[in-house]
Amino acid sequence: MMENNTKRAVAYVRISSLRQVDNESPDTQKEKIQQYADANNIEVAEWFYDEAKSGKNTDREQLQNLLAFALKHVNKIDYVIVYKMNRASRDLDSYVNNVKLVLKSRGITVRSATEPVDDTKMGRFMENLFVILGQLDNDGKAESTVDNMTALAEQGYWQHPPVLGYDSVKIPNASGKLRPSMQPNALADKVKLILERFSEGDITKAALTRFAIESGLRSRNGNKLSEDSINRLLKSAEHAGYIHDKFTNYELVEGKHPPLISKTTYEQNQALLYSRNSHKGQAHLKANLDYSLKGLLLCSNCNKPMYASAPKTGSGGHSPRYHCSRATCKGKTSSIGAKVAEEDYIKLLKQVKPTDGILKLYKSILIKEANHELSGLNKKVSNLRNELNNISETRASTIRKFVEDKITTNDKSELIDDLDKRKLEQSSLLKELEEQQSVREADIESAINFMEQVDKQWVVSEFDIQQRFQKMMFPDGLVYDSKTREFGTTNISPMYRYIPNKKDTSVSLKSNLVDLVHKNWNVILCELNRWKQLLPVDTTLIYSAK
Amino acid sequence: MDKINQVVSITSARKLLGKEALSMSDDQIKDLIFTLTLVAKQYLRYNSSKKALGKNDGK
Repeated sequence: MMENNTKRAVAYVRISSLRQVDNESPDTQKEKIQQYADANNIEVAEWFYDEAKSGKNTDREQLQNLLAFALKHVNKIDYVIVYKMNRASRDLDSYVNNVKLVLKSRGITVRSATEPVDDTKMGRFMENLFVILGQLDNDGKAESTVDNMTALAEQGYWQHPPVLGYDSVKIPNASGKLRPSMQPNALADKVKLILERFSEGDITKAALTRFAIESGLRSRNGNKLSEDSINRLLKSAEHAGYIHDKFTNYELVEGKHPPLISKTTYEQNQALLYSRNSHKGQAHLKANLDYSLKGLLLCSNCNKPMYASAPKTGSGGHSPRYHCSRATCKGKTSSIGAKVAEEDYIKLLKQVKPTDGILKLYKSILIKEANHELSGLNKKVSNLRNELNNISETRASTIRKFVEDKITTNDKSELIDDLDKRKLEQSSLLKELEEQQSVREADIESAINFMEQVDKQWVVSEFDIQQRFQKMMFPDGLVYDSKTREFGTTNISPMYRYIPNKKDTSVSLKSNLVDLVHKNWNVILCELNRWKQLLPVDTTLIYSAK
Repeated sequence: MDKINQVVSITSARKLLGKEALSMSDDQIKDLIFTLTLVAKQYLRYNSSKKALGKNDGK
């Protein structure tokens, strides 16, 4: 039978590592807790023991069981006893939120068997203080661990799991202490073969992966290697005998382990990897001049932009083509040569005419640009004239000096020759610029005429202007049926008009077209609506290249 | 690419373009001015080089 003033408690023991001995072994902790309980007339109802668990958080199985037990036996438990506060936690935040307040809500307080923790003001302060001292100690340990690992890495020791082709090994340092490193294993020759094969520069990573699989190279766990694994293998500096990790700040440090490949092979592989990657990026960024219609042409089946690529031809060359390789379009559309598509597009442009408005705007811009260029030219001409005057003056002064015997005949000849040469060059340049100086009305008119011929304008335009033009004319793109070679669009710029030709509309029909449209407008409207419902894509046929 | 200044204002451009431009936004007009400026620059460059070529051919 228990006395009335006897309190009940649960005890908590934790060791952070199985090697934890000294005066913090589980037995010592239990002994001290029991002594404390006996001295304070406390009965220990249950023991909880976390083995090899860190105190930097409260995610510990037995600690959680203890909390559950305490909450289940509310009013029957008065204390949780620990050997030291740092056994409960080494992190103040998680201790207060996940342990102290949880217990406090059920009237349970924590006691330390070796520290003055109680319910007084000072006792509560000491409770938090001892936890925070544990936290400080932990942080210090973490820092010193990082320092130690950094020092080891800088000396060339490998402190991680071994990379492919190596096994872990301990090697003695200068003072005979064993330090972590690696030694080649049975896979080393295969790894070396793969790395050296890539350095030859004529194999892709995908092909190298197949080569690695065929040569029997497997991961450490015996799994088939993926392209990612090969990529990591190629980037790994450890195979060239380096240490390269966060402890070396990703700088290459000479390692203590033997290399499988030479440093030159490693560098060559990195250069190949880098050039392949950078080339990839460029391919996406750089406009490909072979495909001026890329982005404009839409697939006639899915209405999405057509792809552009140049598959190899039988003769070993490349044939730039437009195509749609989406799963929904396979077998429904066919690819077409880029040149053929371009020719069709130029034929279409022959029938596109700019409005008067756009020609007026172009004329205005052209005159301003011409005048702007003219003012630049005027400046250049004026500078050249000044320079020619200076040359003449210098020439005259040279002759004067010669007459006055201030310079020798040789010096005079040299200077005069040089000045005459410069004069000739500058005079020729001046003549050229003076010819360009006059912007005649005829030039402007010829520019306007040129602008009216949209097809010719497009053909002579630089790539980026072609792109801007077509985006401006057909903002929603141009559906192109590569089989029938017909174009269609839902939207043509109001600044351009499409003038149908004989192929699109017969001559007889053309002559009666306006009357017919007026007479039959309602019928046409009904038909249009019916077609709109039937057509999968809302496009209007505007031109057939055939 | 050359640095392009807008040589014509949007309002002036709208006046020149007429009623067809009513459905166009200011951004579209700006884009049109930009494209036409590029074309004009290209034409002037092309024209002057053609002149230079013509002159050389005559020699």
